[in-house]
Amino acid sequence: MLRGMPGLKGSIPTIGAVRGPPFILCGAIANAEEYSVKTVLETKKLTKFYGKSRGIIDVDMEIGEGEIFGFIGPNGAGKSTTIRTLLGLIRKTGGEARIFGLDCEKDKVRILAEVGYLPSEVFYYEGMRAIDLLRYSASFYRKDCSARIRELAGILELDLNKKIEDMSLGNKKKVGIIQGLLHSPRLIILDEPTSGLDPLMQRTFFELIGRENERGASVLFSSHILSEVQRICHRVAIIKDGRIISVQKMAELRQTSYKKVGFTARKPLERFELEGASDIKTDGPHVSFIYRGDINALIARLAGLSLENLDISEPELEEIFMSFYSGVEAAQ
Amino acid sequence: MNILMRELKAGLKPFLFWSLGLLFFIFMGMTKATGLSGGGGFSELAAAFPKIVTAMLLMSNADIDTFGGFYSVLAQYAALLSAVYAVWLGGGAVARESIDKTYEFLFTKPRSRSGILSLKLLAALIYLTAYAVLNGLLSAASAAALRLEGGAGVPFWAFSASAWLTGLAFFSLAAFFAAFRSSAERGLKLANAAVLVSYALGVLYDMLEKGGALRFFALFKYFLPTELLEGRLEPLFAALSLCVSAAALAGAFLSFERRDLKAAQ
Repeated sequence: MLRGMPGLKGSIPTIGAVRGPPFILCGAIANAEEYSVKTVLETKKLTKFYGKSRGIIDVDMEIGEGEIFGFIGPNGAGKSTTIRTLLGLIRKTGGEARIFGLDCEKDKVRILAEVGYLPSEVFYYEGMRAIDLLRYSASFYRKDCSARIRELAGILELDLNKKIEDMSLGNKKKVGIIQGLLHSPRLIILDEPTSGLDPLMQRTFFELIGRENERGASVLFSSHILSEVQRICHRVAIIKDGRIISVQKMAELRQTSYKKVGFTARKPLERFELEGASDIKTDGPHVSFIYRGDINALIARLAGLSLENLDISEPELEEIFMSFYSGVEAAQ
Repeated sequence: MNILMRELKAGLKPFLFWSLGLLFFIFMGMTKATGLSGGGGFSELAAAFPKIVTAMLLMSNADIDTFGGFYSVLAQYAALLSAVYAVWLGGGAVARESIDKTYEFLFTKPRSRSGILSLKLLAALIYLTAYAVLNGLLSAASAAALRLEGGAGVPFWAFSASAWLTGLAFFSLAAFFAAFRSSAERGLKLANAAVLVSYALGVLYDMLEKGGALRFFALFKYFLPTELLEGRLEPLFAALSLCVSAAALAGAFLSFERRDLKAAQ
């Protein structure tokens, strides 16, 4: 019998011993040294075509119980398509998708009882106050969620008596967060959850998700912002053009985190070389590149140059992909 | 049950709007009957019109010098209104969440699509039925209030029931089109076009001396005013309208279960 799902029969498959890195949560080291090994979500060659248009192709993914799994890719890469297929909003063209060991299409109702979902854009019914919407949402679950609604509203500083249509985008998003978490789901699916939230509220949100994770909830966190994913996730899958191109543990990704580097030397450089640097552009004294490797090696290399200016920033996701592909091509 | 209550609440304001329109239409129409039913030779005037005009005005074969004849014309207009409301209700039950972009909220709750659709359609059907009942009650009340000669002899219930049966068919067809088409909005347009095509076929049926089999395709001619004035709902066509409704609803459920849910463009 699955924990927390009365009436469900069957066993949860396991994905073997997964030792997760400690994850950085708003500057604090959260207690997630090792997360559970049971598979909560699994897809095998999951494919979706909209007519002839590509949605996702052969997506393979596994999320362990208690894991925060990042799902990152540029807009149109297939993140939302994957999520909507998992939630049964759209029908898969091929492959397999299972949550809690149950089929996402055939057993949708039983799965959704234990899943909380926050879409990228939230739309609600006209004329409803936040509390009305949340009570309506709670009425779909066989538990009393009123205390939880009040608790979450307190954390997020949301006035529940206000009409949703009169709320700012950020406050609407807070309503969405509460309606996704009010039933204490075992799996939380977040699709671009921070859009519309100010930095302070983003911090609160990440703390909230961290607490849910400590409670035992698994999280699928979709985003196109790499730093968000780095901040909270144990592992991350990178999707591009509908295909998963890489799945990495955050520890590995952090070790080899990408940086966008640009500097102006006092004298023009004929060429610049550094192990881990790709997409190097040299224009007289101006040099720019994407760097993936030990940051100390980068600093050591730059220390050997006489510089007028230096800029190190987080690259755009597209730039990381360019770097990733150029790395793959170079290896070939 | 929560979905049913929410749908009923959401549908109340439009229902009141449509009911007010119906009240105004019937009452104002009935006041005209006080002048028409006094043997003013209006039937002769109508007969002077080209056949296509009387057919388009739904006045073919109607003796509008009598209250019964006049009411039968008025009731056909009311049936047209009812059909348009039915399309709005049936198509809306399927497509409203996509149009309002709330589908990601509702359809990620632990309920089956068919279960949600059943309750939405039930709420819409309650309003369609209430509208038909109101149609009959308002007609009878107006006739009584205005003390119209011959008003007591008109079987308002038959006209009301026929409007409900016709409305039910359009309601179901609209639900089917909205569920079947990948774009819910296009489905609703198709359903509205079905009302227009049925009206055109009805006009054609009235223009032909012997419409014959055309009646089977013209939903507005399933229940003829002459039969309704005798208090008779033709059993064959009553059964046929129920069959059309059942088939369209079955198609709506099947299509809705299979379709991708997305926001309307």
